[in-house]
Amino acid sequence: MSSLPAHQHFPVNKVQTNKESVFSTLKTPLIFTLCTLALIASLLFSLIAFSQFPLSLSDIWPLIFNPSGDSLNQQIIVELRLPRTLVALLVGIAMSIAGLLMQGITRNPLASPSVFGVSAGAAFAFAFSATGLLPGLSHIPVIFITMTGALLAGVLVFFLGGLHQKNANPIRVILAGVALNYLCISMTRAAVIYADENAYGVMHWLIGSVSNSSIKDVYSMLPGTIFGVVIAILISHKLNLLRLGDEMLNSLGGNTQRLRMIASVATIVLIASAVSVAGPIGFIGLVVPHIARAIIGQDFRLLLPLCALLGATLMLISDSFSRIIRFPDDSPVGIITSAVGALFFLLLALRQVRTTR
Amino acid sequence: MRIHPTLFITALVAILFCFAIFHVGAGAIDIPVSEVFNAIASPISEHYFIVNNFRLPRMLISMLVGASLALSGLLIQGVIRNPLASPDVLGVTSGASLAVILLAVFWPQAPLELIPPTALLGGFIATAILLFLARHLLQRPAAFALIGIALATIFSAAIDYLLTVNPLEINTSMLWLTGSVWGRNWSHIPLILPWLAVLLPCAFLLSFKLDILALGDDTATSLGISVKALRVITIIVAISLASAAVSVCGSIGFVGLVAPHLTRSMIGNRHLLLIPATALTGAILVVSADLFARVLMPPIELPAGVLTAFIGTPYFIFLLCRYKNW
Repeated sequence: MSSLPAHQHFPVNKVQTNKESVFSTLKTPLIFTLCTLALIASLLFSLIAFSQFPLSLSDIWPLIFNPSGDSLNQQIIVELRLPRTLVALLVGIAMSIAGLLMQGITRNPLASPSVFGVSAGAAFAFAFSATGLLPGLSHIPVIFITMTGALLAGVLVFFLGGLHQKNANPIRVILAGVALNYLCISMTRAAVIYADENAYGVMHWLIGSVSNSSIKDVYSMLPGTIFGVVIAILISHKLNLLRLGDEMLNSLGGNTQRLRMIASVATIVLIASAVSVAGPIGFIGLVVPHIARAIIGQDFRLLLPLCALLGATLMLISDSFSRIIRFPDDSPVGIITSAVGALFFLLLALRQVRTTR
Repeated sequence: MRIHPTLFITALVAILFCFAIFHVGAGAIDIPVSEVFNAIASPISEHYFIVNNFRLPRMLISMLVGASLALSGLLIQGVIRNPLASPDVLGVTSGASLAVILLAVFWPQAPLELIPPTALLGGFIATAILLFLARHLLQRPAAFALIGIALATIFSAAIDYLLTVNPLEINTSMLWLTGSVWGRNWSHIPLILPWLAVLLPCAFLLSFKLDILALGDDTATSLGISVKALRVITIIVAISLASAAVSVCGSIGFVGLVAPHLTRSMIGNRHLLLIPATALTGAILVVSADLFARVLMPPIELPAGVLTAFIGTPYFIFLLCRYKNW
């Protein structure tokens, strides 16, 4: 990744024809406009699509301009659909920005909450607190429990994968992460079987679902997500420098250790708040940053908002389609994201294997 | 640490025997150890029914499955000389599980005898895909394992999808998600015993050639061994063993990874001795995993695959940390 031509980092390519420069100045706003439109469209689609009640766009307009609150369809949209849609949106934002930050600080294209086992660690902590084996845990807010789990998993992967050494092999980190992910999933399974006594909920727990969200979940996710996103925005210009190498950042007056630490904290808060509401929804954090990078290049200042837009859009679309898989029953949205994401994982792994050594 | 092979194998048999007795004895109704033999043999014993209809077949299945998975791992590690390889890391078992679930979902009335061939087909397709995608990576163990794991991820995502869309009974689903010997009875023994009976002698026949292959491809070729043919045959045997195990109880993870390493570290690299020792170790692993899965928090029963993952994943990570050729 660090071998990209220099003109992608700095605006030094002044030798351009007029036409090209017009296009390149318009390109970024154009991309963002299109992505915002896509997000709005998927938002509206998610609010009305695939319902057991005949909802239509005409139910949404009065909701915005003239909320009467009487109509049944409006009630459904506000009480059931809106929280679910907002949670999906926030989870998409949180997971994809977490993935972007992880890929930024490890410089490993396969880094992401699900591949490195961090979201599985958070999910296990959540499931463990639900077993009641440690009664004290029930007094602690869920977000702190999932944060602890995410933190532990993150630290474990960091050391087991050899990231503390110089020249860590990227494949080793991934294998360690996958193994840790597997262990956390197994432990979560055991904990859920213990807590739920054999319920079918095990699968929904491990796959990740937003179907039972209420407006309370939105409020509980909001602070963590905002915190993480703000931190990410604040450090984005430094992440650009980190991409050029540790030495480059240090020589330009940055502090690599501190930057990695801050980014890790933001990542953990983001993952923890997403997992505490929706469970370990797979692979959004892996896929979205790559798509964003393919669209807009390597500048983190642009990547961050684009990741947020794309992540939210993808989550909303996946969630909408998760409803028709087994209509009228709900299916967990995670089965769609992981089915798509697993293919993506294989492609990236093949590419990674080709580039290392 | 090296132990005399005969001594080691004897010790393994003794340990397996102990675990087997405890396995039959433990459960919702505790049968004291002294009572177990009586219960197996004499129809007048009050536990005769439980032991002969539920506990004994389950215990035997655990043994057979453990032995098959461990042998499969031994052969795969021997033939591609990859310490990280095993049927589950390479996605063979998840491929086989996926095939069986497809059969269960689209043809629920399928006869029981069709399951092993289906698993076999799935295992072979998974291996073919892996060998195609990673054909340049045979010399790079970690990279090869990464591609295998990515394939396994795809298969398990597909399994998740199928099981969510077509809900089966929860214990059945759990069996295909993690591997479990829950509810296995005498009717499942014919699914795996013939395979093991045929493939175990095959493994013994291959053992001398595998020893020579361990000296390197060139040496083996100059000693008159067709390396390519040996690889193909051994992989076929290994996949068949793993698929037979999967057709009975899903993919019980990490047995195929841990057991060969354990025995190798104890008695060295001679395949003639490794084969029985690894089979026994695998049997011990699965029998003890199922035993603990049932007695840890009764009356709740964990899938045996969860327990083997507790042992297996730390071991996998340990192997990663010890592996030097990064």
